[in-house]
Amino acid sequence: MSKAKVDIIKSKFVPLNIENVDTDQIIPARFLKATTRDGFGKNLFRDWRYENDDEAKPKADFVLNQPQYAGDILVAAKNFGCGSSREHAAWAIYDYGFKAVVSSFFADIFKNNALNNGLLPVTVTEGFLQKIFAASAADPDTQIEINLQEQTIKLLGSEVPSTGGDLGEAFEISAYKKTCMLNGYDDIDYLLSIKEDILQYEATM
Amino acid sequence: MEFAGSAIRSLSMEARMTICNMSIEMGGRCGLIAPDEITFNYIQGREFAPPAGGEEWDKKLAAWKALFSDADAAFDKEYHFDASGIQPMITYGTNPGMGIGISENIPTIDTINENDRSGLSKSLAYMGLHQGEAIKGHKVDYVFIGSCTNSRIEDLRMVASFVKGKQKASDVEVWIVPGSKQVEQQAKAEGIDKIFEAAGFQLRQPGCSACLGMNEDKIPSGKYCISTSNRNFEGRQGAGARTLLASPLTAAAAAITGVVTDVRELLN
Repeated sequence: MSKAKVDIIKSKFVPLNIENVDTDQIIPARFLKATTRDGFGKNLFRDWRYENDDEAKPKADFVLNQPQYAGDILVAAKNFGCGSSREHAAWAIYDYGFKAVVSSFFADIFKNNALNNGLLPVTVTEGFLQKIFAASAADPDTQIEINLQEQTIKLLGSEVPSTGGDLGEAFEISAYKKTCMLNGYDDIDYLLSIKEDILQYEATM
Repeated sequence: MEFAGSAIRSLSMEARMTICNMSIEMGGRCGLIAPDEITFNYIQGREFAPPAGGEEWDKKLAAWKALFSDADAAFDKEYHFDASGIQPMITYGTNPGMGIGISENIPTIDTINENDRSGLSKSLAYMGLHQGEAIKGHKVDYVFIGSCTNSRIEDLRMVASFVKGKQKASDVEVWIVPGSKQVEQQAKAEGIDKIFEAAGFQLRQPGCSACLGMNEDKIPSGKYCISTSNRNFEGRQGAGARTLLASPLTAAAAAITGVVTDVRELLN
């Protein structure tokens, strides 16, 4: 199933300054009983978002309920996505509307689930992560720009404390997954994109 | 990650599976233990295994015997533990790493590793527990002996032999959930189900059950459940449920006394 192409993501962000966020928080198990990948976003962080599972009672202290924070990017503290390997965690974040997640460490399986589902995981240094959180505390309208082609992430604008300019760093991503995300490919789309090469190779066998 | 050493080699196949099963809680993709006679004996006679003594078996056995890390293999990190110093463990927090020996007190913020500090207050608030207090003696409302981590036939046999002739505490609900239908059938064939029934334990349908609260087996909000499953995250066993992860025997001891108990005191 093809995904939206990812290239440059420039947006405000939601700061989730909590470490060791596990996938049971991202999408509680009781919502896993579905036969399609759609609709998980409304249950993203369900038990952190609502009192007693009641959508009429949003918890005011949770970032997704704070209107000053919005955008295509979720920024979380280290060891994001640990615990259960449920792929639904990546689906829920994507379905909610995030295009990228930034953290100083991702649980390995979550990271791969994200990459396989059009959600870009960006691993930054702990120091840069803290600067992102500080920038958002100073000004919730601060924007981040992620450039997948260039593999860079920047905090935009002079509002960034103590720098007066953009602040950024490079990030790593597997070359294969980068190609897939730039083109909106899943694994099958990628194979189909090189079908001619495969056929030619097979002809030589 | 690989587990090795004399303590590991002395473990049964099913005990080894429990340890390997928990590798992911450290972020590992998989955990492995080099095969040995215990492994080969376990495989022999099982469904899909080649008939023992046959040519195919000998061929496979020779291949399996080659599956071990070289003596000079390089690992990214090596950790050494003295198993004789490990007491029954239990968790007090909301991730599997937040564990202590059963006779120890819940840590205080200044005594734990700096990396683990940020989550402590949040976890303890959720758990209704306090820094520095003992976990032993804490009231338990539910006991869940189940899940892929710790509900193999060997676990059920161990629990049965401990609870035989004993009664569960009156204010504790005890759920035994075999890890699979196969384990359930075996338990019934061995009469273990009757021992659980006599003790006041409920034998429930095999499957994931209260490990993650996807079916009706949920722990009510605010209640404490001593659980042999692998995860104690917030809401894992039901919204607001408070999970204490422990071994099957530690869970069985709590079932009898109604509080967190050092099972060694009941075995002696």
